[in-house]
Amino acid sequence: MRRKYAKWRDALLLVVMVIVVVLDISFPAVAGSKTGKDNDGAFVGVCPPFFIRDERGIPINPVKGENVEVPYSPKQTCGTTGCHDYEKITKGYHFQQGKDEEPSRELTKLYQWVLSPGQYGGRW
Amino acid sequence: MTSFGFVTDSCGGCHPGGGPLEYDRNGNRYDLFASDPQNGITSGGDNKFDGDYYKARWSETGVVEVDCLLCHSPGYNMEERNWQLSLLNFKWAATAGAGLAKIEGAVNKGETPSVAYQLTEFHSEGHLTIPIIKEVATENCLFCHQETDWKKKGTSYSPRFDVHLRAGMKCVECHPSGSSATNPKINSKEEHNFAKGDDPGTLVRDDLDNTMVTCQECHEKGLHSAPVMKHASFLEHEGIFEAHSEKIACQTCHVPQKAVKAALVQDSTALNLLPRVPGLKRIWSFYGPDIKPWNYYGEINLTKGAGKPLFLYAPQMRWYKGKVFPVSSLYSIWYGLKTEGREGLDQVFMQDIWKTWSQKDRYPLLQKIRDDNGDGFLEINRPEEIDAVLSSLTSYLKNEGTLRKRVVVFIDGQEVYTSAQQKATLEPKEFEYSPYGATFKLSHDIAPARAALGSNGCNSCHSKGSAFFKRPYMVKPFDASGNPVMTAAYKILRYSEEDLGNLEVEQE
Repeated sequence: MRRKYAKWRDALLLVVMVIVVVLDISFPAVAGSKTGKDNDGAFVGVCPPFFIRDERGIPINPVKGENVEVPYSPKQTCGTTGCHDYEKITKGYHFQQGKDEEPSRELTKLYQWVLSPGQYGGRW
Repeated sequence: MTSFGFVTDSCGGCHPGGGPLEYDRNGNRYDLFASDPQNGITSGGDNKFDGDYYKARWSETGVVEVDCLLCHSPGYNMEERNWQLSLLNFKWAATAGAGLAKIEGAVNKGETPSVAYQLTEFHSEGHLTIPIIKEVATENCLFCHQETDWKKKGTSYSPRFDVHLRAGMKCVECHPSGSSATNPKINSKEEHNFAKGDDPGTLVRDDLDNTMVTCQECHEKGLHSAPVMKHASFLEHEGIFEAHSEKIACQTCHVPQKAVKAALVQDSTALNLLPRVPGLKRIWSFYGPDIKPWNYYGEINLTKGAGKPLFLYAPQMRWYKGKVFPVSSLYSIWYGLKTEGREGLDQVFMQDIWKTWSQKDRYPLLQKIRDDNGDGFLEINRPEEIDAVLSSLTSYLKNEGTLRKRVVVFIDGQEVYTSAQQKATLEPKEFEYSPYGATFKLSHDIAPARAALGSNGCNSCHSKGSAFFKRPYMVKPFDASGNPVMTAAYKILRYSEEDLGNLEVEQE
């Protein structure tokens, strides 16, 4: 009984494969990987296997004992020599904390010490 | 505070790296600039009192780059990361926090830390194996927001008190960013400006206010499987829900109760001697919503983040941009420095307040300061006390040679005292006690429909003597006897007696 179903399953799988090959239908992630790019990255959303890198961008390979004396650099690993736009990401307000902004006139009228709208220096 | 001190004086404990932890005010990367002999920077030296390099050791510590895994790796060890920062092992902190390696040695001991990678975190080819997720886990957001939203907002972040956390939602579902965001201001690939609300107490990137997913977006359309709002108790009166929602924010009814203290008063004019308060933070005395002393730092130190003590109370309400919101509004008492002809105020350094109080023998007028209400904290509330502290602090700063042409002032809420007999009054906005005291809107710890105000009908708020309008709100923490001055909520909400008569319409 089980063998009979397996036969039908194999046949169905073969038909699907033929259709895919003949019509050149491929899944988006596979299509993206052909070019090494993933369009806008929104579909893939998963990092491919990668090496961590040091501040100079040189890979660290603990398994092979290569370049293992130094800490990894998130900037080089994920950003500069990796896949992500480090400069754009670090413009986010979680990272800048107001450093890239001027304080408003309303703030400077009150506080002589503020240089940004961030919570630096004891503004309550 | 210097740029280097920003990392070491606890700010770096939450800052995810990059920006001011990586680059100086001229856009130079600290470690590269400090290591370049042409720039003449001495590690640990005064460096011409340049705030970016004063007593800094960037060439040894490295910088704190953005630590992607702090947010994007579940199981990230924030405690270990911050321990490394405290050792001045800045550039090693990300490696330790992600659990990729054991770091031995400390820059603050003059050592160069060693790195021992954990092979369990790498594939056989050497690729990294630790879990990485695009959608940041709530636990990672709470590394920082758990504590910072405690003192200022009394946010519990507990599923017991927040219907959204109880439903298993993540922070980023309401605060999305990048390609997940719907608002065009923040919707682009890799954009890391998270959707935000509009909090009167926080002023960074106000241009991005109200980019977050609103209550209506989910509860009108049923997004995220949200229950579509019914407001059944309003249905018997046509148009009454719309009339309410024009003037009342959703949170006003859906945050009827808080479960964790927030500071109502912050007084930095005398030392508090409560246990487990670290160093200079002794100059800050906090009072909770009940206007009683609150050892906030002691609780953090003792609980180690294991749980915030339960404290139930109704939040205050304030008008903000035409609607009533529940808020945590802070009343601040502090010392300022006024310069003739210059607008605004400067502040007295924490260490100067500390040192003045620590030398009471040199400044005997401080002996006049009494704990009038016997609550354990000294309060500066009587005229002779105001003159005593102003005189003492002025003497100290003169002795130090740092007073210059400035005058010490005592700020008590909206009053700025030059002496007990001479004061100016500041004009606060309708949602604040003082222009110098921040107000935070409360948008977490959301109660479900059955626990919201109005769920039992109009009388929840509109009965005679209803707590919503008659609840006592603090006006000022200390009168001349050290007792709080209170008023009814409706007065703070700027309703007249006549308005109140129209609002108290008890239903049969």
